[in-house]
Amino acid sequence: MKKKFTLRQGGNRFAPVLQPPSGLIIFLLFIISLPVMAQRPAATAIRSAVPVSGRITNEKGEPLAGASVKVKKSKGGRSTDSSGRFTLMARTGDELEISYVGFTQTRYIVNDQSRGINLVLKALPGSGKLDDVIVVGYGTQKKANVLGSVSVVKAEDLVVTKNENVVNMLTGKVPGLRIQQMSSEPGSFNTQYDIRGFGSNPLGNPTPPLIIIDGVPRSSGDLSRLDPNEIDNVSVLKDASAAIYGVKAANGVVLVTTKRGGRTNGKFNITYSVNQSWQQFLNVPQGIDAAGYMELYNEALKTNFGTNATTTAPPSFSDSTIALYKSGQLKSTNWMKAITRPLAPETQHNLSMSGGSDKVNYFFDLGYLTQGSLFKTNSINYNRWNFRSNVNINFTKRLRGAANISGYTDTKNAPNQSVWVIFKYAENLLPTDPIYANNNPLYPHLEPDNDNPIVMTNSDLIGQNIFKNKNIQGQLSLEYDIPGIPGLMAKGMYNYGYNVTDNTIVSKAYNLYTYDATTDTYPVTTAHSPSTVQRQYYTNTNTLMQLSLNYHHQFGGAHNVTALALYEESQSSGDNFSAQESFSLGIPYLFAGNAGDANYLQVGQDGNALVNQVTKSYIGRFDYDYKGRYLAEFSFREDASSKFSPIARWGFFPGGLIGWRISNEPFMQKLISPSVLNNLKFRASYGKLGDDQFNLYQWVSGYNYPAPGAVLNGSYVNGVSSRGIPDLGLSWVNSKTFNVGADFDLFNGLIGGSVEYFNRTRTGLPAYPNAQIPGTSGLQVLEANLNADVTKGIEVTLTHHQTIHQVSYNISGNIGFSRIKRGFTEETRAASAYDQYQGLQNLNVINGSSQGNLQVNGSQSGRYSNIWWGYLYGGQFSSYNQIYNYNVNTGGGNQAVLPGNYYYQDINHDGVIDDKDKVPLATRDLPMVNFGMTLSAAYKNFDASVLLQGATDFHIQYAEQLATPLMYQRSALSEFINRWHPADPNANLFDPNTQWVPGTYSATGTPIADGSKAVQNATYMRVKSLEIGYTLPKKVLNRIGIQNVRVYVNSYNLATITGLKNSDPEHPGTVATGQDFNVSQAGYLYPMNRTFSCGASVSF
Amino acid sequence: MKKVKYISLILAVIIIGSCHKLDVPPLSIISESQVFSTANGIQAYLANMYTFLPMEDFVYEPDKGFLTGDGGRWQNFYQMDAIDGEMAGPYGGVGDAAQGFGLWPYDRIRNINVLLYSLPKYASNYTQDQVNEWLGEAYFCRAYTYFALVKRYGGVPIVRTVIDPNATTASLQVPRNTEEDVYNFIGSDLDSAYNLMWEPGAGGHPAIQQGAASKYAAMAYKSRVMLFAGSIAKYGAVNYVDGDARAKGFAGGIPAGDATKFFQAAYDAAKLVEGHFSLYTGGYPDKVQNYVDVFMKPNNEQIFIRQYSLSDPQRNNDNSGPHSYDATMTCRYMTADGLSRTYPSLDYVERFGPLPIVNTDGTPTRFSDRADLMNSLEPRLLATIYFPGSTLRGLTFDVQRGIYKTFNGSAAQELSNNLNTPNDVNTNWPDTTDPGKNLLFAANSNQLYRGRRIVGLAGWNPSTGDDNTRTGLYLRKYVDYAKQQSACGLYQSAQSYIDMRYAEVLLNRAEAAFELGTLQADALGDINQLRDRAGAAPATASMTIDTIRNERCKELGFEHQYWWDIRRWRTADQVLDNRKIYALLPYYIATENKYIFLKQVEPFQRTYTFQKKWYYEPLPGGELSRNPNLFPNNPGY
Repeated sequence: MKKKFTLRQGGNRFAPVLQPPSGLIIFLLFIISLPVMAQRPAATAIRSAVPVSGRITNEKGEPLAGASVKVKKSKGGRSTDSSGRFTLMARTGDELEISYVGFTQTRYIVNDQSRGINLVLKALPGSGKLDDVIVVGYGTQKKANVLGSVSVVKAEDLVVTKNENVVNMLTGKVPGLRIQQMSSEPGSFNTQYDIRGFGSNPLGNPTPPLIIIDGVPRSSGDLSRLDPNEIDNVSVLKDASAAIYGVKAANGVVLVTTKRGGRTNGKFNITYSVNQSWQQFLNVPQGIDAAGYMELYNEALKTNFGTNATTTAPPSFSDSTIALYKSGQLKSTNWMKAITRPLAPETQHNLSMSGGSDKVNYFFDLGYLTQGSLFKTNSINYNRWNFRSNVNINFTKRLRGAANISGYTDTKNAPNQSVWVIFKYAENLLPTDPIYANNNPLYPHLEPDNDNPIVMTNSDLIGQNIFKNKNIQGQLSLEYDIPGIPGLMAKGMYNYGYNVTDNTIVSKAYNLYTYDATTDTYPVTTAHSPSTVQRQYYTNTNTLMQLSLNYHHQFGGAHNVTALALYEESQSSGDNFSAQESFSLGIPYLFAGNAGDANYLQVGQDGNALVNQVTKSYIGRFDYDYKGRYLAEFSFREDASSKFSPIARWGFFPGGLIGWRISNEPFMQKLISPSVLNNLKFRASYGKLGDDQFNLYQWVSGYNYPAPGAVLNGSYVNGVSSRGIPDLGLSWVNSKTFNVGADFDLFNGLIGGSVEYFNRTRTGLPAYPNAQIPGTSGLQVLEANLNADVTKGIEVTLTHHQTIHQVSYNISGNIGFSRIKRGFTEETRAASAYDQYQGLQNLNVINGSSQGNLQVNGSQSGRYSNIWWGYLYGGQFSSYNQIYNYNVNTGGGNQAVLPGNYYYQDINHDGVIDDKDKVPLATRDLPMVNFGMTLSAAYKNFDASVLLQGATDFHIQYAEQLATPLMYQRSALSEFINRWHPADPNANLFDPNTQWVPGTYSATGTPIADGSKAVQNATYMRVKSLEIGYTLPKKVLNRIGIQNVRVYVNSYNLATITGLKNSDPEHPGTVATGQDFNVSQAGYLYPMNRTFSCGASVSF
Repeated sequence: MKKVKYISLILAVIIIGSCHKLDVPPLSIISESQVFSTANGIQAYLANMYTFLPMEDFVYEPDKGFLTGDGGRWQNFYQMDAIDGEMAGPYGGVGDAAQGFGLWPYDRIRNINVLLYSLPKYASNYTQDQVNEWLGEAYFCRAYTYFALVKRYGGVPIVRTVIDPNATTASLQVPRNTEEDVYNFIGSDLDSAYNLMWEPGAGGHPAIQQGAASKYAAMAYKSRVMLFAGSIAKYGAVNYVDGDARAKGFAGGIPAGDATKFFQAAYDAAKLVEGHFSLYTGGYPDKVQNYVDVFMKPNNEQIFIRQYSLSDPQRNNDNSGPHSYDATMTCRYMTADGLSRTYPSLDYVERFGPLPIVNTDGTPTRFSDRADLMNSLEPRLLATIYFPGSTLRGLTFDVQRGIYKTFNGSAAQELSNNLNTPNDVNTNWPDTTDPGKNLLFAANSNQLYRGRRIVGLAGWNPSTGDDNTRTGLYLRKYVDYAKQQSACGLYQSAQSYIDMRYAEVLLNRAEAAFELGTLQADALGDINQLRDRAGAAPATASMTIDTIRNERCKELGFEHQYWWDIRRWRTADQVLDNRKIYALLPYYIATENKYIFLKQVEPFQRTYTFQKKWYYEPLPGGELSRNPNLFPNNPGY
């Protein structure tokens, strides 16, 4: 009762709302109807027949919805509802026939005690998958009846991959789900993903799909932070089956359903599991040693004319100095090794309890994760607690309730420096520089930009950032079988979610030193000053209410009808503030700040995170099938959001799906025995969806406050800025999705699979319509729904199941392809026909200045959006003669070209390599083709599974230090030693008699790789996960009260096959023009990891 | 059934509580009447207007424009004095920035017009004085913005009204006005500003608000604008690239006869400022320190300034966040962070006369201490430049290019023999003790020759590239000498940028007076006020226009004026004709234990050339394509 009281208080917060909106009226109808309906039981009973009710489950105790129950030799009958329940009228002695596709038919003879019959249907061998109940939007469906493009990952398939991020655990398991893990930085959850490329964004991270956890829209971060042991299954809706989620569903929907207790007749089950992993880091770039650096530096000088056309500088480092390092008399500094360790631990614990009876069932889960980093100091680390309690209660025969409470709290600690800065300097600082001045560990050496990695990875010196999240969700739902109308059920659900982000950012001043040998002193530089502490506090509250009527009935034993009417309302509000103060007494708290230091005292609030939004939706769905052969589904959603203006607020999003299960046709069954062709279904879907994640409140005129302001008389005055001309019509993006597919199952599971084709058209993508409006108008033109694009692709899934003697095994493979083409695109005129060809257009012209135009190849109507342009690589010059005879000017009349330099194809044959020689080279952004294959097998007590995963049509280019030796006049990575260089280090490089030693890279100081030489094919396939388990013999265990013990070893990212060198294919380099720096952070992201784990789970 | 009702009731409470209206106003948006009905709202409106004034402040970059937010804003060394050779800096030459960056701030002009149009509707909430003051500030800001346009493009469209968004595209295509029209328009806006704004400190009105404009700022600004217009009228008639735009009066083509009108207006405006602002003398006997403090301490010379705040909450969006001047304009070892890239040229120093570094016999003058060079220099020059051997924050500017074991002969001989290709003279270390070498260089300052650094901590050596001075000099103007090393980090400087100070008004007045040809005595008086404060010898009645111009270059050096001055004088194409700029590099002579200074071409040997067509920038291409009425483009484009 306490919990209910809490929720009621939560409700009262919003009581002052005055006008009863439509939701209230619906609710009133709803509650009035409850008692009325409740008073009508048995009034229509047939004499001598009594109501018989029961529940049909499979062998696992899971309810079977839509099973047919009828009295033998009678007509009609009933179907079970979504919880497997049925009620019908029968006389004592009647024989009930219960049938369900894929299961053996079962009979039951009604007797006097026939109340609450529980029947378990046995699955027909091999047809296991077809009867699975899978979660779709606002309900469940039998897999055999699913008409949309829906992929499901079940708990047991999910946890085969061991990772701290649930999204990474989905990699390779869902066709069409594109997942790229960018780094394994603890607590950053830096994994990009989208469904079928729908979220693709050439300039930044892709937009993830809508995430629904137990019926509630949640953030992508919440999905990442789930404890995988809480998850029962994950459904991915990729087509019009997502239309029921309306304005938020254009990028697809991921539905996560958590576990619930089974019926265990009062027994309970406790499972404890532990997983201990060791993370090993993949492709950590290594700096070159001092001798190598000096050689490269001297060579670079030889090619550097500066502004002087005749001579180059002599070497800076003499042979004798280089020899000192080569012989070991002087030691080089290995900056990366100084701060990193080869292995870092990661541990997960999980305790769950579940059980149930006729009245109550429950599932409790407690999880803990801790992950360390590759820094020796472990200054980046992460830990998380997850909690869940899912309880179902049957109050009466008709009334059921469920209460779910879940939450997590996590903490990420990190030093007060960005990871990319740490890696950048660990990669580029000179190996001739000492870590400590005069090698005295008390004095960290002064390095360029004050960025000494040994200090940057030490939170005690540089300060610590603590990022905390706390999230709690409480959900209450009630279901009531309305008497009098069999199959009609009313349901209400209310969810309250609360999230707190609480960050502490401590920045400390630290000292760096040099050593002055003339005086034996350590001159000091104080950096990162003054010490400051900042607190940031964000709170978000989300409420969701759903009221629905569900109806399921079978008419005439052949017409199955399911219908849903639902009203949904949500409200979200967000608040925040931050405060900062400088401190000098060493205590990093606001109260201990330097009093009166107004320079660093800041109190702030993020106006964009002040949120108050309401949505309302009317949702309906109607399913029909005739004997499981002809299937149809229609859904709609009428959505409104306070984000949009009253005139453009309501949107209607219908979806229609049809299917023909030809394998159920009598003629087909005559043609091919059903034992051979278990299932063959053709299906098609079409629907309209929306995407409302674009600019808020453009319809509201007025002024933004606070806006940029000025300091007047020494103190800051907040400004106001005009919002420009409001666009009342600005609305969501419309997305129309079409999908056709076929599913088939042969030889009782020996071969199965599905094939899909999809085509999604989006219109109304926001863009600035100012290609025509002169700037003199001064109009701050707001975005309008202008642009369009089309995404097309295919997906194929194949499965194979076989048992040979005592070995049973499964193979399941999937592959997905998708590509986006621009439709209409608001654009300025191309400056030339050639620009037109290259598709070089100004994407958005920023008002007020022609600066800031973003030119991205292919940003033009009718172009593929992911084309990478550049020069076509020709080869490397191998001799002076080849250079002299080369009749194409690669720049500067080839005066400075050396053997080993790259040359490119002169596409237009004008004798000069310039922009006009650029051609489409490759595809950019996330991979176009993704594939995965799971192999699993069991023999006696052993089980094993392997997940192979990969991608192709995938390209990357290295940036900064990974591409350019001696960048910013600093050091190089070790691979650059493999370069063209003169056999005699003192030779004149421009003397045609100089002998060269070939290498992979061109001579240091000459142009780095460009075009198709630099853009590399990152196609890869990797053993994403491998697990081998052993279940201890039960006979022994049961004696000591243990039900089950399984131990396993597991590896994540065990092996990778790729042509790419020096980097992990998923770890991003740079992606072409215009991309947000933070996507790849110039290649300095925290590396990927490989883990080796062992673990055990024990059930009592 | 009771249970059902009971549960329903609970559900009812929950659900009634969760019923919400869809009309939820966004939380950070306020209405026009909220803005215009309160003095605080107007103040906020003006604050937004001021922060986006196109002021060429510390962070302005001539090839990128008026930077706001973080981003490149820390790179103060991209300052515009490096494109014309007043400094040796990060630009490759004049061309990097001469064609502008597409400035087209009509959105800001619209904002100003909105205030001019809307404020009168709310006038009843205020006193007439208040309304007039605010309107006056708006006129000032509009004039300010138009001058930023006209000095770049010549004539541009004049927009005085708030353009209706629903008007036809054709009517939105406002045609170009002539250059002279725009100057007249700016003049009349500044007159309006002057007439409307109250007398600071008088009649109960507050004194001048630092960071905002006053009526005298309007007149000071008018003296700058009118002098600019007068110069173009006079000199644009003799040195130009011809074209349609000139013929139509859009770019050049102001009748030479109108020069007098503009010079007179400049003079009159400057005269109005007299008595309200003055040259800062602060009472120091030390003229160097006094001149330094003109820029470091609030004082009555500063007419219009931009202030900064370390705690600016909008620092990522506006122009008031801290800058990085102290971190980027001096030696790395005197700062907590940052790096320098731009250094005063010896050419600037020589505006004060040649330095005493060569004896009459042509041998380099010997100095026991590098700092001794400064003994004979003008206080104003010492306050503007840090010479080798001067000190800041207790540390010495340790500039030393190399060591001569011995030095015989003349400076000219040495320069032609050995130092004509500075990149060439890079010596191996630790082979610097090679007995065969007389001139020693080193790749870093840790290399010693007989216990003495071969290159100073402040270089220059090739391996540190631009991080140490290329010219031997560092800028002193605006550097906060009172700040500790640890506080000189990126985004930790907040000294105000002085956009207009009284010294400029005097120079505007002197130049206008001299150009008028009738007020030479007035001009001489103005110049000598400046010379007196600078610690320089007074000018005489024999002074010429070049005396005034040189005085202007000395006084306003590194204040982003020189670029516009040589453009309006139409001398840029002659001053910057294949020009290289010079450095003052100290060397130590080991056998003599003395220092010499050599005047060398700065080591990067950048060449500065100004094409005549660059007297006007091309109109932004995107705007031409949207508005055919902007044609013809300026001559040469």
